[in-house]
Amino acid sequence: MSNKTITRNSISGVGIGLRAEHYEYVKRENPSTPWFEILIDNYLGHGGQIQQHLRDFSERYPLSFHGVGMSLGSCDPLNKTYLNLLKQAIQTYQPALISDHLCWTGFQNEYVHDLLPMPYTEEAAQHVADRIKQAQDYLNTQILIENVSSYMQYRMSDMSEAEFVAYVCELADCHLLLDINNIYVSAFNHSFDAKDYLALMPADRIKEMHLAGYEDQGDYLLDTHGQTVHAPVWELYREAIKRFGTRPTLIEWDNDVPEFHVLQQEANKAALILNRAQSHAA
Amino acid sequence: MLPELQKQFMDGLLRNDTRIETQLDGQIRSSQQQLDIYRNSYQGGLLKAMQAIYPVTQRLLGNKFFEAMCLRYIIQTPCQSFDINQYGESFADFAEQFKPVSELVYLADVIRLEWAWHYAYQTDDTPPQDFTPLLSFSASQLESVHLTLATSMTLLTSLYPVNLIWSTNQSDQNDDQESIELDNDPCFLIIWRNGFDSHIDVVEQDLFQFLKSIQNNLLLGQLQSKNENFEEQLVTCLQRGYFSAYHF
Repeated sequence: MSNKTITRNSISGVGIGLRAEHYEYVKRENPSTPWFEILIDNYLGHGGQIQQHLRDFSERYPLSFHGVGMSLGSCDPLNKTYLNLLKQAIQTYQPALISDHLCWTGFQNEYVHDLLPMPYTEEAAQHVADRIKQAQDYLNTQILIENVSSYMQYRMSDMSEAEFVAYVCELADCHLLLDINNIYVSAFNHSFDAKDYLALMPADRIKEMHLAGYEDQGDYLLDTHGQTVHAPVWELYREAIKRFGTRPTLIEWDNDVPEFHVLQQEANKAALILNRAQSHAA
Repeated sequence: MLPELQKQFMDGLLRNDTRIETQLDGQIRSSQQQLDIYRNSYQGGLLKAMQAIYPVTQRLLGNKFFEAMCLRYIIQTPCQSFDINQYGESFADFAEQFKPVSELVYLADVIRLEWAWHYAYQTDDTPPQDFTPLLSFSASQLESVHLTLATSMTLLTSLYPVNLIWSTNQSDQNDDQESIELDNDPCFLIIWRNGFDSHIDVVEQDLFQFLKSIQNNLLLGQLQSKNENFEEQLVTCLQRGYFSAYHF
């Protein structure tokens, strides 16, 4: 599969999830952010100013495309309209990475626009791995799949989430976007040890990490991506970097988006962790 | 097993079917609680999408009423596109049947206008064809020409001055505006985008009908025979950029 990788700009260091609230600031101030990740679904099939933003940013910064539209775990056929639009965007803008989620988002032409977890079974692993392979073949590149935060578990699951994620990556020969916040949220919600999760992750397949903030709802954590990264997630991130080495890392903020400098501050914290890890490794 | 599980979950989430509850592990929190978290997220996401598309409607109704009305709509209208920007097109039809707003006779058309504005802004680019060759067409050739309206265009007519209601209730307008008379003549609106700029063009009825006829696939020859201002209207529309293509 690796011989299918398209040569594109590589990314490193700490990037920021680019949101509409920051378009004008980024265009005006040209921050030294090494790369941006965009929610590519917001641009596919859209024109006018929306598409112009994507053109502008692709000319100034390396980009990573992050989507939810593949619905890789759904039992509906893969959406060829979506994949075709994504393929065109990849050919036009040459992103460094393309990622989606290890989840399903709808069935029988009804879409939830949320990231629904899979049951952790052999059947589900084979199903989603087969669809990842189809998508990679169609797009002519390996993709990254992201672990999602979850609030439910199925009785039929007969392996852990971490075992399932690692198994799917192996079956599909795909890469992994390790969302540290999502591991922490799921670990809290389902009472497992987040470090045990890390121990099962395939290091060589991890090509990117995400950091974000959750909301404490009392008896569960809600992955809102609407706050600063919490202390235990920073701790888990340090653990992940110590275990796997440095990886391109993204600061994600989707709701109640603050001014850009707040995200830059979060990015600086992550960069410090990466720099220290590199110094120790040297 | 997987398709049945997904069917049961969707039925549970959207239609309160309880079959999924036996499939969920209730050791840490009940099946109902697990479903509620996803249901809240699902409804919240669609509400946020609708708030972005219908800010004038939200201003007219007030935040709480708008939210409650949207939730009623969301419950009965599942999203059928991977693109959340396509959600909410039928909200105007819902408003027409929604009894609590029955006295707001203009509301459904305001919603239609907002949807058309949203559609124009985000629709894909379609570079217009070069219409210069049409100038050298003979009269008989022109009769067989069929024109296509700009991809971003919506034609909207209303018994109420919805364009005034829309412009008066933009977020940068203050609250102490003069009231708008609803007894004005019907309005004929063309909502479309040219490059990066979205427009609401208020036009005369005959020009609106001209464009409507083109939208209904009438040939230029058919339009010419029915319309004494045909040439003037054709030139006006070409100059404004209302067409994206021609075929013959």
